[in-house]
Amino acid sequence: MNKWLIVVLFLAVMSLDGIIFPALFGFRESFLTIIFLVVMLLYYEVSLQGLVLGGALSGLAEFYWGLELGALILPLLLSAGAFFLLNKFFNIRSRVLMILSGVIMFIVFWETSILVSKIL
Amino acid sequence: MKKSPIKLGVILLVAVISAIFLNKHVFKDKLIFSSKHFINLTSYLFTKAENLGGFAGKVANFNRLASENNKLKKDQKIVFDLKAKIDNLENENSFLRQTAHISQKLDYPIVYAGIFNLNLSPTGYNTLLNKGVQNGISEGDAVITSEGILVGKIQKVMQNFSRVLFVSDPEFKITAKVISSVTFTANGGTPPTAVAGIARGALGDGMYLDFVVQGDEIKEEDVLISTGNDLFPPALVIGSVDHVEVNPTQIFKKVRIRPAIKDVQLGRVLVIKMR
Repeated sequence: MNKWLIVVLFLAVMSLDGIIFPALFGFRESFLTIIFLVVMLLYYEVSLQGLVLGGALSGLAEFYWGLELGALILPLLLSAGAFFLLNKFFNIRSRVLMILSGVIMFIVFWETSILVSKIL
Repeated sequence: MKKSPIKLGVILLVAVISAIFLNKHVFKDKLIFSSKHFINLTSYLFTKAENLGGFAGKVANFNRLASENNKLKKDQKIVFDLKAKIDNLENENSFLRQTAHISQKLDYPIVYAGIFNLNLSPTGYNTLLNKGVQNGISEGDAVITSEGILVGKIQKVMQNFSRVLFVSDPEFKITAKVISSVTFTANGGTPPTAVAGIARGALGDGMYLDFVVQGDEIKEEDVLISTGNDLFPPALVIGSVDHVEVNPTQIFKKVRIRPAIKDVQLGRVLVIKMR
């Protein structure tokens, strides 16, 4: 997929997450942006291109949300590390394993983000 | 990743940690995206979307609104009665303050602002306000709606926007008391005191009121307001009691609160400057 299309999709997801959901539907517990980042990493199978793009988008989200630099980028790298570990042991090829590893990556992302924000 | 993934991962990690170090110690946290036009645009979109959503919700609940309207008409009479009593008490309070030479209660300066983003992230709610240092906002200022409902407090201030610590955020705490409920001490003769405790955020669950002992009388739909015993002004509406769990083996009751902000629009808010 064209990386510019991913950037546009990311911006659309951010506005859906932060403006449309809470303002139009009153849904304030959405974390679609984080899911998007993890899915994008999986789509690129955690390649260099995926990591760089993911890092740039996480940085953009950090600046927009006024978070400390690294509050999203570091967890993104750590969740990529989790994918490497899983891939080393299970050789992820099937769709089911891919989804499972995505869920694990999301949990790693979420938990390490809480930890990183406390450290920063 | 095909070539030496560990090496690449380490390089990226070092690059990110260096960037964090530079941001913290060289740029002093100034690497923040803050386009005034962009913030104003998103704030405008947020308000418009909220108005549209509110209108659609009203159309969908037309029947419920009709019966609610009848109930409100009845409640209005009670409110008028209460208002008259409050007027009387205010006059009496003012007179007593003058005679006792106590200064009049503090009037806090207020800044008009708008929320332009609200979503959940691992670090809590990303509630962003379109006013920052330029508008005199500082950390710790209280954010309320025009109805006097507490939204949160300013957590971090940037040049032209700021982050709000939302009431449902787990880091948020405020001393609260229940209005309309009273509890009596063991000897029974002393004057009744309002049930009070510390309200804390609990994400999707809303909030919890801690330190309410089993003997305290508290029931569902009781309204909670700020006490003013901490860094928040008094009498701000926090929410209503949603569920009370009584367990005689525990010292305290488990009280879940439904934050009042769940039912109001947040596009336009007021910031009470505490400094």
